[in-house]
Formats: sequence, structure tokens, C-alpha cells
Amino acid sequence: MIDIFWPAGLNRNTLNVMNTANRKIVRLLFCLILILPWITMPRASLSADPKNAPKQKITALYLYNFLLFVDWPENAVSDTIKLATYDAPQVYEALKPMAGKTIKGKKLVVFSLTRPEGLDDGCQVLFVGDTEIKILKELLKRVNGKPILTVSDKAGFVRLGGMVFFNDPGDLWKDEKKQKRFIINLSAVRKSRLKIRSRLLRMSDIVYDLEPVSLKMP
Amino acid sequence: MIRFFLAFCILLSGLSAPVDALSQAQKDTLVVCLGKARPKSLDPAVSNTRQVLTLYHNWGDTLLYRDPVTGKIVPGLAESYRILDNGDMELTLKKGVRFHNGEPFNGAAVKFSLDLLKKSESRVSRYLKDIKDVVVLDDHRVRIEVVKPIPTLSQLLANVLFIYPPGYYQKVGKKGFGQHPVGTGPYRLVSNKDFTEMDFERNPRYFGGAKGIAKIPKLKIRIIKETILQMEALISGEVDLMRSGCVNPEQAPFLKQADQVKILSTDILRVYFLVMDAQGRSGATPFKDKKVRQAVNYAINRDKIIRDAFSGFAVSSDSVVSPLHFGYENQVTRYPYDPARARKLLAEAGYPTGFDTDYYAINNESAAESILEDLKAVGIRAKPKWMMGKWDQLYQKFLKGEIPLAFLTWGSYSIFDASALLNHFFMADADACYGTTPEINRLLEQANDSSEPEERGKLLSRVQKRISEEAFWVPICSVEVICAMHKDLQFQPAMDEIDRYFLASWP
Repeated sequence: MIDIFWPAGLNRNTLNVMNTANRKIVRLLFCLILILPWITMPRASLSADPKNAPKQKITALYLYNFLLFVDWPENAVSDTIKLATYDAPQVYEALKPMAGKTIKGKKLVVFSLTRPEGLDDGCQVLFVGDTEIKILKELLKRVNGKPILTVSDKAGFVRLGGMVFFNDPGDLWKDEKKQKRFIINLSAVRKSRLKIRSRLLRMSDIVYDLEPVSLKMP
Repeated sequence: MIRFFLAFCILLSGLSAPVDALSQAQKDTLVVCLGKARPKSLDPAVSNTRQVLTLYHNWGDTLLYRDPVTGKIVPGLAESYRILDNGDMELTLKKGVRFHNGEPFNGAAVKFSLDLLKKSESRVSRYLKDIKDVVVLDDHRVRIEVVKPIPTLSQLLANVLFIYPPGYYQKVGKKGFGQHPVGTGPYRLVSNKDFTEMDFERNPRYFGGAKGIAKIPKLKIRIIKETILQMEALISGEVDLMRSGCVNPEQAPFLKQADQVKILSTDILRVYFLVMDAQGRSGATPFKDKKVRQAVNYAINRDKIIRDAFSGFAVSSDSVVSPLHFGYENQVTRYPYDPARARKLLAEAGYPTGFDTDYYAINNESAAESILEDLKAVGIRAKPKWMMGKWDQLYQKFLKGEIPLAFLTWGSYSIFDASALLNHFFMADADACYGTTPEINRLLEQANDSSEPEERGKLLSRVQKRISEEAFWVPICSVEVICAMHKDLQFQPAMDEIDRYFLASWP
């Protein structure tokens, strides 16, 4: 049975001159050679499967596009543009390589908050991950009325006064009618004197004063 | 013990087989996002978008072909060719070549194609106007007769003289051909789902030639209407390759750091520019006044546009043509960003409080918006009419003379000669002309009549200088094409901005 694993140039006669210990080592080496491709192969295929698309990468892509297509009041942005995450370690990791890049002439700063008080240092975008409701409320209270775009994929975010809620991108792709990627609370956006450009709005379901309204997008 | 372990390993290796098979199935297909807007036809004589042109060169062939590596023109469907003293060209055609439907390719097909493309409704008729006729010498020899020697004849034959199957075209008509074209190329169309999803497969009878056999057996073309959704599809692995030029440069900084994606770029002929209606074709317009046009030139902050909207994948150019065009001239009148001077010129022209105008844009929304803001800053209240990705519709309006101000782009049909742009936009009889002078027209005619490169270069240079003096356009930039793809895909963008999907391969 194991003969099939003898490599060329290594036959039984060769092995006969080896002692038992050496044989065991050779066999173990064969086992390792055999198992190595198996260890690596499924990983490669998994990453190529769209169903296993890294959600945090997609979230990072959209956050990057918010930086491009949201306008802040002039006095709200200096020479840097700051993006903060809270309880979203994977999204933070996905965004970290973008730190230091220039977006619309401003240097991007990415940081992860550990306490809501950290918001007092200021930022332009806040992404909130899967945090407790009471902390979420605390965060939203701290940014209320300030020109800070608040984004989350946590259910009920908009109802609590958040601005942008991400739909789960994984299930929406196939159906063109369902390609609305987020819900935007336009009243909260306007209250904070932010402007969201049409290319984001047309990919969104809009709510205004938390009531769905029909808006004609340009 | 070890025997048990070995048996376990054998079992594992058996389990891994289906995973490998799935991976192989994925590699049998190349999924390409072609762009945002559905083509209205796949016939390049009907739709002159870059996406339709690119697809043509994958399902169709031309008599000559530009090698994407060397840039040289080499035989395509022609076996060989020679240029005669009077400028005519004699070509010997490859034998045994057939269209996808089995129809033979021969001299009659070449003549049929030229006759079709020279019809006034053809998008490329203007490019072919100096080709008089095709004389079929026999089944495999033709002579292309010219009105006068054409300096760019070989490039026209490589890029614009598309080859049609006479029998099939006559049977299905223009519309039918546009829905399901048949060519001789390395891929053949299998299905076309409402121009949003098109499936191609390798042409099993392909003659090979300079293009070679398609390396990936299947090609799936998709239209995705939003830039961000396109990026999402790329990152999630739904799409393997974005058509060169389809990637919005603003997305490049993000894509650069995405570990499952790689981006490549190369200089191309494409230029971006703002056209003003200097002739008043669209009605009474302030742009007829040279001072207004100069004001607009001073008003636009091109460096900001290149930095922000093009993410640096562009260079500012003062001339209307690209540095890659033969005959490019950079020593032209310059209009540095100077909004104060713009306001002064507008006041001198009788518009101290500015004016209102419609403003169309086709591509790169951020650049279009930046221009809008710059215009507003000097008092020009431009009403945006965004037609992003809808080139066919906008171009129709443009040709009809209905547009006072437009932010456009032009790729010169991949012809590396300044005349490919200048003739199209600045000859007095061109439908796309919104501003010219008798002198510019005369210089262009002289350049077209000349076969001496040095003389032509000087004439084309003078044309560009006069255009800048008259401030007919605001040249914004010459761009690099960005190509984004799955990290494992082997593919190179080409400087003629025509993607050869048949050259793409998986490792």
C-alpha cells in the first residue's frame, strides 16, 4: 500500500540498508509532504469564493467612499481627516493600511477608540461596531449636532439617531433591485451640517425624521 | 501506527480533489466589468464607446493589428501588405479564415465592411473619408484606394476598419448584428443578456495569428452601474478584472492596499477637456466671446482636479492633444489658475455678475463637480446635466450642436497622431466642431495632405497653438489608464487602451 509513495530513486533495496529509525523519519517526511498541499489548498479556494468575501474589507471600502463623497463644513476639517472606530477591531484593521494616505488633499488618520470620552478629541467619521446599546447611546449623545458622520452595521442604529446604517453586503449583490447598500437618516445628516453627494444617496434608502420618504435622486 | 497515519493522509488527499476542481472551474472563466452603462449595440459602427471598441477587438479582427508590447503595426487578417507610390495599399489576405458562423473571410468581406463603415450614420465614417474604395483583386487580394496619401492609413486599418460578415449582416440587419455580432476574433459571443451580461467562449477555429488563441476558455462581461458596486464586486471576487479605464482613479488609493487586488497603470492617449460652444450652435451663448473662453480657462484649477479627482494618475497639459500623439506641442498659450483674472475678463466681456449655462459631463463625477465649483467661484452659474457613462446619448446631442458647455474625454480611436483628435473636433465641416477658424482649418488640411513627418509635425503644432490662443477648450489633463484585477490574474493594460482579454491568464 505504501509502495506508491516511494519517490523515484528510492527503492526497497535502498531502504533495507537504513535502520528502523531512519525508515520512520523518511515515512514521516512523506506524510508531511503529502499533507502540506491539503493544508494550503482549501485556504486558497476559500478566499476566492465570493460567498466568503471579507465583510470588513467591504465596510472599509464604503467608509473610504464616505470620506470621498461627504462634505464637511469648512471649519470642521483641518489638514487631517480623522476616522474613528469603536468596538470594530476587524474594520479598524482593514482601514489601518489607509492611514497616512491623502484624501481630497487631507491626510487620513485612523484610530480605534477605547472609551466614548475619546470622541472629545474630535473626528470626522465614527464607525461603531457591535457595542452595547447603552454605549452606543452614549457615543451618539457625545457627537449630537457635531459635524461627525456616524456609521454602523448595528441593527437599530438609525432609530437611535445614527446617520448611516450598513446593510449586510453579502446577501444583496445578486439582486439589482436590492442594491441599496445603506439607510441614511438625512435629518441627522443635515442637523450636523454634512452634505452627502448624490452618488451615495442613490445607493441608499433615505429616511427623514425617521419616517421613510420618497426622494427623487438626481 | 504510521500505516494508519498514511491511510489517513490518503483519505485527506482524496477529500481535497473536489476543492481543486472548483478552483479549476473558476479559472476557466474570466469575469470582466466593462463599465457602468449598457451599450446600446455591440457594433462599433453604431456605438463608439471605448467599451464597445474594446470588446470588438476580442470578438473581431482587423486587417492589421497593433502589437500591445512593441506598439508596432503588424499583419492581422492580412498576410502581408505594401503601400504603393500613390498611397494606395495592397493587401494579401489570410486564407482559410472563417467568421464565427462559418462564413468565409475574403476580399468581398473587406469591401462590404468599408462600404458599410463609410455610410454617413457610421460613427467612424469621418475617419475613413479619405479611403475611396476597396478593389477586390481576387478572393485573397485587395487594394485599398485612397483619395490622397493618408499618413495614418495603417493605424486606421488596425483600429477603425472593422470587418463584417456580409451574409450574416445582411440577414440579421444592423440591429440584429448589434445584439449578436459575429466576427473572426479569438472569442465568440454565446449569449447576450440585455447588454448587462454577455458570455463569450474561445473561438475553436481561430486562426491565431498575431493575437494568438485565447488563453482563458470563457469570458463573461458584466455591466455594473455604480462605481462603488464595481469596487465591491472586485474586492469580493465576483469580478476578476475591471476594464482599463473603467476604474475611477479616486478608488485607486483604496485598491492599492487591498490585498486581494492589484492595480497596474500605463500612459494612454486619452485626454479630458472642457468644450465651449464658441460657434453658438446651441443658441445664444457667452462662449462666442473669446474673453469669456479665456476667463473659463483661468477659472479652472487643473492641479486640484488632477490631485483629487484623478488621484495623480494624470498630467496637466496645455495643449488639447496628448503628449503621446505624434505632433504634440506643449509650447502653447498657458492659462494658469487665476480666478481674479477670470472675473476681470468676464467683466470686460460684459458679464460682471457672471451668467447661467447648462453644463454636461460624461465621466469622472468628482472632476466635473470640481469644475462646477470653480465656475461658480467666478460667477458662472453652470447647471449640471450629468450623463455619467451614457456616452452614446451625450455624443448624439453633442454632434447635433445642442451643448453649450461639456466636460468630455476622447481616446482618439487609439490612433497615435494629433490629427485623430484635431480633425474630429476642429475641422469646420466636422459634426463635433464647436470652434475653429479658417486658418486652423487650412493648416489641418495641409497636414492631412502632407506625407512628410517633419512638415506635418510643424503644421499640427501650429494648429494647437492657434487653438490655445483662441481658448476654444480648457484642456484638463492627459491620463494614465488604471487597470484593477484579481491579484493572481496575469494581464497588462495596453497604451492603446484596448484590453486584450484573450491574452489574460491564470497562473
